[in-house]
Amino acid sequence: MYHVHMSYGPDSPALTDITLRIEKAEFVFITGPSGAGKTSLLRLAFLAEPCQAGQMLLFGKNVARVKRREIPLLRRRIGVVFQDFKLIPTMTVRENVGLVCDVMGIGGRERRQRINEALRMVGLEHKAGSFPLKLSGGEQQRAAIARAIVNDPPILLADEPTGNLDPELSRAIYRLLSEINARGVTVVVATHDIDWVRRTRKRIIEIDRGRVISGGMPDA
Amino acid sequence: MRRSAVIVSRALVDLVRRPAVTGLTIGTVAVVFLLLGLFGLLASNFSGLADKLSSRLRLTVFVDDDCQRECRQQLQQWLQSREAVAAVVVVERQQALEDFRRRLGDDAHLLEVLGENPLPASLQVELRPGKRRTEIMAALATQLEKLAGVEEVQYGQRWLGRFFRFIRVVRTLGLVLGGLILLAAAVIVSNTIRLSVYSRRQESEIMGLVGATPAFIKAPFYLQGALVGLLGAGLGVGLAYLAFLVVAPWLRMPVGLGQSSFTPAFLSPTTALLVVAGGALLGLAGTAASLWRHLRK
Repeated sequence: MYHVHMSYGPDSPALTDITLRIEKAEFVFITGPSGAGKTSLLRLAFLAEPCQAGQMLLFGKNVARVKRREIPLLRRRIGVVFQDFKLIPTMTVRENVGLVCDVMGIGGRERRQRINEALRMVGLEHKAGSFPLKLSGGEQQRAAIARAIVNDPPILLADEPTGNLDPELSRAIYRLLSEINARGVTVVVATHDIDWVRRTRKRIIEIDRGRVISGGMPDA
Repeated sequence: MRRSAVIVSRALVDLVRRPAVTGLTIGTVAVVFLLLGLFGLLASNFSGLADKLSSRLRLTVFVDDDCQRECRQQLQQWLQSREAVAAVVVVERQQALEDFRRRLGDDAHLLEVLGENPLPASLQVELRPGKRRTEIMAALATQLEKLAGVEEVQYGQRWLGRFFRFIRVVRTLGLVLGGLILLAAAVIVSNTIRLSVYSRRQESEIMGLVGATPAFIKAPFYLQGALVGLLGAGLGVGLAYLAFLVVAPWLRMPVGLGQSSFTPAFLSPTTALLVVAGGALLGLAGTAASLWRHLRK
């Protein structure tokens, strides 16, 4: 992102003059207090919000003024994990994870293989037939991660993925995200858990009041 | 193929998951199309009856007592020169009396009281087959009444005019009421789909987040609306047909003198299919209205 500005209205600037770069296969934390703009930054990266000024390069393409019809196609290359999991309660874990395959038109054996692989990676093969409300918080978040990675996206965005989880489960989730990163997926995690993040020795981008305070550019 | 299967599956699951609402909506659309169908049948059969009746009509030109042979021949030639006229037959006064005596049958002796023959001579005009016979007859009558030797022209104009006015009223009423109840049916379908959209709002949001296009998200709802409309219209047309089978034998009637009769007709298969397709369109319209309000983003 280069000098990106984003606002929710004329008197509601969310992000101001954001300049940052995240390299392929990096694992980056975005930290800051509540209201700093972490979620806004991820929503921008996810093309859920338009930017009013600046450039945003994604997969080598400037998506700052992307056409609406291109957004779904770009989103298929970005996995997203949310704080509230966003699992469909009337679908089983397998069906939730398979939703991405349905959207992409993947069926048959390939669909089964992808779902099984994603569930195996997050350790939920034995819960494939369960409904989300029967799962613990940690299991629900793992199911959400499985859905986010089932189509092998090059980028994974996670917005406060451990916000509803206890510390032990939080560590398990971050370990899982690290494993995913180890496979070459660029992982960006927004979190306010700054103390723990600093101990991970991963790159940290700090933002406050909609501005990048530090860590916007990777070390040379 | 997979995407199509997903769309169909999502559409059907929603309909099956709420059988009461689905059944009620289909039933309501069926009633709408039943009413429309019955009204349409009424209007079309009345039109058919009017056409049949008007095809049996003859123009009768009554001539003055002063209009003798030469005058009648001139009138006959004038009529035969008109493109719309197929045949002209002159009925002399004596012939008219004989015809009347035959029609009276056993009461023919009543004519003894009359003394002299009161019936005028006339020209019986038969028109060529074709449309707008009533209008052509009216135009001919207007021209004839201006000609010398013509006392009166009759073709059943009074009752025919009333009958056609009645048909126009039925048609207009049918269009207005039909339009209103179709609108009501579209609103009902729209509300049914709205329930579906609402119950799947989280799923629709998530599908958008994982890269589903707006068309992929909306397609199952359109399919639902079309199915509900199609099934409702099909049921309505079927019920209309059953009603027709029961009532039609009572409506067969003779037309004019002789063996000719009018037999009511149901919609042709093509028309029936078009009506059912119209039901699907109604469903699509109701869905579009619902999605426009609830899934704009």
